[in-house]
Amino acid sequence: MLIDFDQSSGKLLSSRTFAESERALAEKARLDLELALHAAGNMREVVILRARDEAQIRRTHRRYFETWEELLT
Amino acid sequence: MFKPLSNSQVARLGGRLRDGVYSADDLKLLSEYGALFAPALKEVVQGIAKLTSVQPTERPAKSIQSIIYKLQRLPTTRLDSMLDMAGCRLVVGNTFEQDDLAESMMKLFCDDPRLIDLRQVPHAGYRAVHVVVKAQGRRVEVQIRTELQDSWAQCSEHWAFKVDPAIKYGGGPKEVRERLEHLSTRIRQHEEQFASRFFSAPFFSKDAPYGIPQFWEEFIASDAKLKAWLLEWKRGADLYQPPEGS
Repeated sequence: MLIDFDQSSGKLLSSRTFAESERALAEKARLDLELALHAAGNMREVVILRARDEAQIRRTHRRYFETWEELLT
Repeated sequence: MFKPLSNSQVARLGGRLRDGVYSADDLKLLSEYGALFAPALKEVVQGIAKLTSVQPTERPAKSIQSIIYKLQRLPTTRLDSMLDMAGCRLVVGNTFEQDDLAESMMKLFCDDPRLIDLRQVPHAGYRAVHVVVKAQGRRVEVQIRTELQDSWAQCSEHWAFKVDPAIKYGGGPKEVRERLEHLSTRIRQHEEQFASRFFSAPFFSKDAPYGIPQFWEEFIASDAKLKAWLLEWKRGADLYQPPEGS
C-alpha cells in the first residue's frame, strides 16, 4: 500500500493498494509522487507498507487511518 | 541493473539531504539506495514467519521526509549508518511474547544482532523493543511492540501532528510532554507488575492465591483502564490551546 500522509495536518491524503506482483509499479508510483512533491516544493510522508492484507497494515499503522476513538477500541 | 552506490556517494547524498539542498536526481539515488535493502528485509520477514504467527508489516524503505528529519535532528548520524532504512513492525499481546520474540530473533540472526530495549530507557516516553539484525550484509530494524505500547505510540504521534512534531523527540510543550511520559510510566508499571507476578514462584504453585484465569482477568481490566486514560488524553489534543506567551 502506498501512503501519502500530511504530517502537518495529520491527514491521510491518499492510499493506493497494489498486488504482490506489482512491487515495481508501487515503487515507481512512490518515486513519481516524491518527485512531483519535490518539483512543487512540498514535502509529505510518502511510504510503502507491505503486509499479507490491508487489515494488517491498518492494525500496525493505525495512526494513518483511524480517529482518536477508533485507535483505542 | 544499476551500479551499486559507493559509501562515499551515499555519504555525500546524506549531506545534501541534511542540508536540504537535494535535487530530483538525489531522490532517484535515494530510491536506488533504499532498494538495496529489499533482499535483506525479505530474508528477515521469512525468518520471523518461522518464529511467530504474528504477521509483520513491512516498510521496505524509510520515507524521504523521515530520513531528512532524522539527519537534521541528529547531526552526527550518517545516511549509510542508519539502522532503520528498512524494517518491519509487529504488535504482540504482552511483554512475555515481546521478550520471547526478541530473544528468538537474536538467536536466528546471530551475526551481530543489536537489541534496543526501549522499555527500560524510553525515548521521550516511547517504549518498545527494537531488534536490529543483519541479513545479506544489510541492517534491518524489527520493531516489536505490545498493544499498550503501540497505543501509547499512536497517541504520541497524534499529539505530535496536532501540536508539535518535537513531542516525539522530547520537545514541545512541557505539559504535553510530561503527561505523555506519565502515561508511559503507568504502562511500564502495569506491564512490569504483571510480568513479575506471572513469573513469581507462588503463582505457579497449587496453593497460589489465585489462578491464571483470574490473573488475565485483572491484566485485561488494567489494560482497559490504561486505554481509557489514553483515549481521554488523546481527545485533549484536538482541543489543545498552548499557554499564552508560549
